Amino acid sequence: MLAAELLKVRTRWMPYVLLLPVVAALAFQTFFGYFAIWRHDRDIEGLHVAVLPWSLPSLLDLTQFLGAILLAILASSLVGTEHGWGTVRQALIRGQTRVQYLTTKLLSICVLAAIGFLLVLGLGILFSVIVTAVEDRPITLDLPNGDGPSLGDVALMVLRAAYAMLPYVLLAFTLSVVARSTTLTSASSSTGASTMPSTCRVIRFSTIAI
Amino acid sequence: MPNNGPNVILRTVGLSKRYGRLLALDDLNLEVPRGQVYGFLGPNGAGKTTTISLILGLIAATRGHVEMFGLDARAHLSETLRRTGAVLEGPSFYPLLSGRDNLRIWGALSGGVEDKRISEVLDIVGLRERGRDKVRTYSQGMKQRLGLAAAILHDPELLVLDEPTNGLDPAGMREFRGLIKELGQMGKTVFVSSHLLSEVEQMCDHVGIVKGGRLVAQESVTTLLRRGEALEMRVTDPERAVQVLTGLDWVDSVKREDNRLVVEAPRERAAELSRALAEAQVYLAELRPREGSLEEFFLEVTGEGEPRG
Repeated sequence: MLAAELLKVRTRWMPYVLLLPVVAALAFQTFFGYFAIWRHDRDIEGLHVAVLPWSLPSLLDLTQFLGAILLAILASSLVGTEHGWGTVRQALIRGQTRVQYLTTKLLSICVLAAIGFLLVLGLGILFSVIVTAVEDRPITLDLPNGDGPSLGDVALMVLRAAYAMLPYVLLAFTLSVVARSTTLTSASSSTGASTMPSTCRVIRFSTIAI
Repeated sequence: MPNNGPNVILRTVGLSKRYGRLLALDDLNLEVPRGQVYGFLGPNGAGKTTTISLILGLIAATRGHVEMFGLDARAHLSETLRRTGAVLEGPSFYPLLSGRDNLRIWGALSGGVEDKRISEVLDIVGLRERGRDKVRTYSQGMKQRLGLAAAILHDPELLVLDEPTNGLDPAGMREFRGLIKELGQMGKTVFVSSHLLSEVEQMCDHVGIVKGGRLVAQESVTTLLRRGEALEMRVTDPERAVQVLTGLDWVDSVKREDNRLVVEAPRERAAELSRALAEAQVYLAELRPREGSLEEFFLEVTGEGEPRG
């Protein structure tokens, strides 16, 4: 069943198109940060967003932020279009229960999200490797003061970023199952994904201030 | 407890469905014999699609239950559906995928099918040449045929088809009827809903007629047609002929239609009938058998002036 779900997705253009803005944003952050901010302005921030291993947190932050929005759009599209095409009933009359159908759908979205996330992150690291080589620095996790992250730390950072995207995927999935609308769900979940972190930050600071 | 004989593949027992205040289906008791093409007839809104949705487990019954293959369909939904193929009204597909890929997906959901089988069913429905084209480029007729291909992909014992010829042109309808007949000849049991009487008369062995959510008739098509058989005649003295014929115990009824008499009696007793009239000095000017038609029967049992399209 999972294979059938992945076959459906593989032939759609949407997942590929959604990867493009994240890859473009990562490329912009890395190359603009390095050439414009560090090489031109000599601002150390530019070096930190572009060169390994400092660049890892910014790569993950950007991937997580854009990934949450785009995954919400993808999840709602994958569920909503099935309702639009009427193919849900076709699945149900083949002996699949609703629970099986939804679980498979959610699993396939998670598999896609994992593949997309790792692919984008890989490309982001590749951009950083290129810039690090141009800067003529060693490609390593070690910092000059010997205080770089360990491989375990990096793995934890990656998992944390993936975990942070999960609620938005689940929100989009649930809304599209209930509302059966791609547009409504994409709009509401991606708005949620883009505004939720700052909203939470505002609430947190307000609470501290009070 | 389910109690299906070996010859009944699908049975509904006191099946009822209520939507709020509307009773869509009321105490429906269908019996579909194994290996037969069963036509489920009724005017629009009679409850045909509701019945099919209940059979396929898409909605739950308010009362009663469905038995398939001797099992309670609700309790063994996955098992019974895996032995069933269905084409719902207006079959749905992934428009961006080819017909072949659509079948691959439906096959995977039915437990997986080989590419060879996909080619076979595309051949059966005459879509081999267009199998690699995207479904969005298909005509309505091609989509209906692809729907049938998807339904027979896993070689089911029972096929449930909801108005399969809707939206087809006359040539497409004829072709589709041929396909269904072929499936019947291959030993499949086909349950096909329709509001087209001629269609059902041509391709079905059994017929169930539903009206206002109630089953009003259920018989083999041959029996129904035989029931409508009559002898039509013109005679020299109709008044006297009516008297003579109503006196014969093997004559069911005698009706006058203009200057003709329509006599419900076995065709093979036409010679006896002629002799009885002649003995009463009434002579035949014309005598011919009249075929029964499903339409007449349908109109009689549903009380419809005209079956609605």
